[in-house]
Amino acid sequence: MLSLKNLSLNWQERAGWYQIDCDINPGDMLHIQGDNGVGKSTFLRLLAGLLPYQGHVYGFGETQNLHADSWRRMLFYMGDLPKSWQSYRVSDIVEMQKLLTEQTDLPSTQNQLETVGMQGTECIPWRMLSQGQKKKLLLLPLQWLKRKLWLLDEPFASLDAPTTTWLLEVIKNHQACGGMICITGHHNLDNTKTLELIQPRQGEYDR
Amino acid sequence: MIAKSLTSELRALWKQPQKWLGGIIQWILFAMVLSICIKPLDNLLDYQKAGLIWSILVMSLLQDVARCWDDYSLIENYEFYCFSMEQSGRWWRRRILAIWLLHVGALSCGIPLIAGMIPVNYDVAIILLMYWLVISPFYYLIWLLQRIVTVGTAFSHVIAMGLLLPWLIPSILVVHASLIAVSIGQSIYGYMSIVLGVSLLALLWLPRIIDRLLKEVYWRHRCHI
Repeated sequence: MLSLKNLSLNWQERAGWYQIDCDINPGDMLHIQGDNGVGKSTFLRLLAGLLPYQGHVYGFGETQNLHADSWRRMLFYMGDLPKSWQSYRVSDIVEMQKLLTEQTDLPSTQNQLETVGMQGTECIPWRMLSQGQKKKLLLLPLQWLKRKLWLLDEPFASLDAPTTTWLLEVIKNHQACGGMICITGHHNLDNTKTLELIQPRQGEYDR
Repeated sequence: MIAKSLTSELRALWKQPQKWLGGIIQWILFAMVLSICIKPLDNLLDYQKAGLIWSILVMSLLQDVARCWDDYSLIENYEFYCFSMEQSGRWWRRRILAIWLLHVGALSCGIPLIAGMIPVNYDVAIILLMYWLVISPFYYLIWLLQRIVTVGTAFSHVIAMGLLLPWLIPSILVVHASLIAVSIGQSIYGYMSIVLGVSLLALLWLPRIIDRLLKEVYWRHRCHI
């Protein structure tokens, strides 16, 4: 189980934002909701250990230091679509994603792309892909990456129906294996815990 | 593992020549323009010509570091590689090493070409190349450092030049003094030792400073909701 105790941002005048208390059990999906601009993506980054924080996170048998490599290697984070990858080809990106693991038995690039209907796109540069295709590429490691916590920022945005079905299936399997997921976005999801972020500038949240 | 990732970085950069070749081309173009404009070239002494080649080399080549690390690439790569199994900070070290290797390769061909265009003695050209090999790691690291400092700021290129000049000018003066020493038949080992010492210190400390600063800059960039 993962337990967030008064987890807040700790950055200059924004110190104390969020103040989240919440538990995430194995198999849970936490759906972070809120209006545009309330800081859903920033909260995911905070939980990913990318930002300065205060408060505590207990989980996996100990108090976690969110800035430690050991924490980051327990989670998969998918954020915004990168803008600096314009000239990278699809195959380059799939190769890069292999750095997320030390596993050697990964499916081939072709097989990975086939599962999301992107076969034959290996040589296409990132800039030529649609928003949906870019998102599919970022989600590819979910097929093989064995990490306990997934932090997904609007994963369903721009996805076509078959890929949405694929992603829901992958998420279901992850939950069945005891994995935990934090997700943002406006997609309707069943069986989720909801964390509603409102008015972060006043530090008030409704859970 | 390191050799494999460096090879893939080199391959990736090779496919994006706009990120590392622009400086070399700019340097050759400047040299061509100068060789046309400064007439007669014979009026210049060898060390003056070499100093000219060196100055435009430094100004041109280091801009490739800025081309390789735009604001987005610094922030996004930091974010991506935080979750990789690599040691933290290895991604930028690998890239800077790859650019450096490509530049050294290109310079090995470029310096003899320029030395023919703005005619200097080949001994002087070789000394220039040696100096570049020794001091360029310092240049690349200091340039990357200022890139990180100026991420997301207005007038970043102007600020960058302001931050760099206090470091660049002394190094150019040392190289210049060394070239004068060559022209009057003195030894350059003293100068070379100074340059080597500065470069080794930079290799020891600047990567740590860059790692620390990169995190701070990332925080600053992302905490503005």
